[in-house]
Amino acid sequence: MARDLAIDLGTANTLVYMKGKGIVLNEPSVIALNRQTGEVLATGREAWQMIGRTPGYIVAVRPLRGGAITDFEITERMIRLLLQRVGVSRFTRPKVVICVPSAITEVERRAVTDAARRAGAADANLIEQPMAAAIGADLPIDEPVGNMVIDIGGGTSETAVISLGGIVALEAVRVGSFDIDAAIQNHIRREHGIAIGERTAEEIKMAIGSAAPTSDEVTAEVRGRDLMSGLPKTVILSPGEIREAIEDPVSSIVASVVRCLAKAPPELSQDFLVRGMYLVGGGGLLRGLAERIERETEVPVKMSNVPLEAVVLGAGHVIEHYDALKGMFMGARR
Amino acid sequence: MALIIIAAAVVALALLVVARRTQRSDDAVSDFRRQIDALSSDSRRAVTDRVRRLRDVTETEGTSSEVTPPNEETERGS
Repeated sequence: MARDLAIDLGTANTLVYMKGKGIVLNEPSVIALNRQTGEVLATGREAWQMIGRTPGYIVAVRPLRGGAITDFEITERMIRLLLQRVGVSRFTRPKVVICVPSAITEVERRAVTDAARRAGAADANLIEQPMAAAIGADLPIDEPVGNMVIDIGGGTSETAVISLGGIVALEAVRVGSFDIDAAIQNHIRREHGIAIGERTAEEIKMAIGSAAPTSDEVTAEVRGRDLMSGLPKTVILSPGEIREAIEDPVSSIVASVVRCLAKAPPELSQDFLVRGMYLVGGGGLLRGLAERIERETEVPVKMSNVPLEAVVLGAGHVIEHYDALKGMFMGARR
Repeated sequence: MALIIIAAAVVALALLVVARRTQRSDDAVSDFRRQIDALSSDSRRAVTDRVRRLRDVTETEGTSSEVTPPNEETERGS
């Protein structure tokens, strides 16, 4: 008997929740392929370690960008391997719920469900990430009060107002953690003449990246390839410099939160002042981001207890109560 | 006589339609109630607790949160 699954198919990480068991897989959404034969060499963490370090015939790719599938065939293969790893076979075809960005197009929606069905799912349904995040973060979304959730992922940032089990207002932008990494890469290339990889950019962000000044600021030493000489070179970066470099993506995210607040009905707006907004997603872990949003919106921001797992936990809850909550799937409410 | 039968049939049909419509709206209300009950914090506690327990166990064992070990055969074989 197949156990039903919930999948958070994120741009950065993929998490799988199995009915009755909990989270059984949490890995980067990366796949390494042999370019010549098309053979899959590695997926997940193993493939992530290969990014930027592979010989010419091997390519380590992220099949999702900006929350959307950029390569349908590779995504299908990745989902197939994920399902195999959690025990799905030809004879056990589970029902699958997949979390997707709310701004997904009809074509992208079809692409995700088709990929899951072809990869071995008996039935595939989609749920919006902010809704799943609110369920997973244990917000009182069944009550007639405004719950605001900000989900900052690798490729998208979504803000939603939820009340009585439904989305009341929504704002989504295709800007996320990867855009912050790219901004760091571009800044170091432009200002210091050094080329660094996306993994190094991510490490810089985690080490000294911030959206607002913090009390514990330290400098970081970064090694890369000098664009002029081609030789390895080291530079010292300050948190202020990185803050300036990532200002564009950070301000886009904050602006989308402000737009969502403006869309919310006035009756619910007053709830936010008392209850605050909840921040989930890996991007929300950027230092000073909660303080920056709080300062610009004048609404308190609270970090979820489970920021990285909130989305898949919410979808997992839907899987556990499939019959009662199947009305929440994308398309079911339209 | 025929007129009476037709009228009775029309009335019966109308009653049937009204009954079905009422039932459908009742279904929608009970569906919504079921959904709201399933979304309550109490009902969600089981899911969040299960993950918290799993996390506590893996943290004390000093392993990652991954439960299923990577299957090298399937990764490299396709």
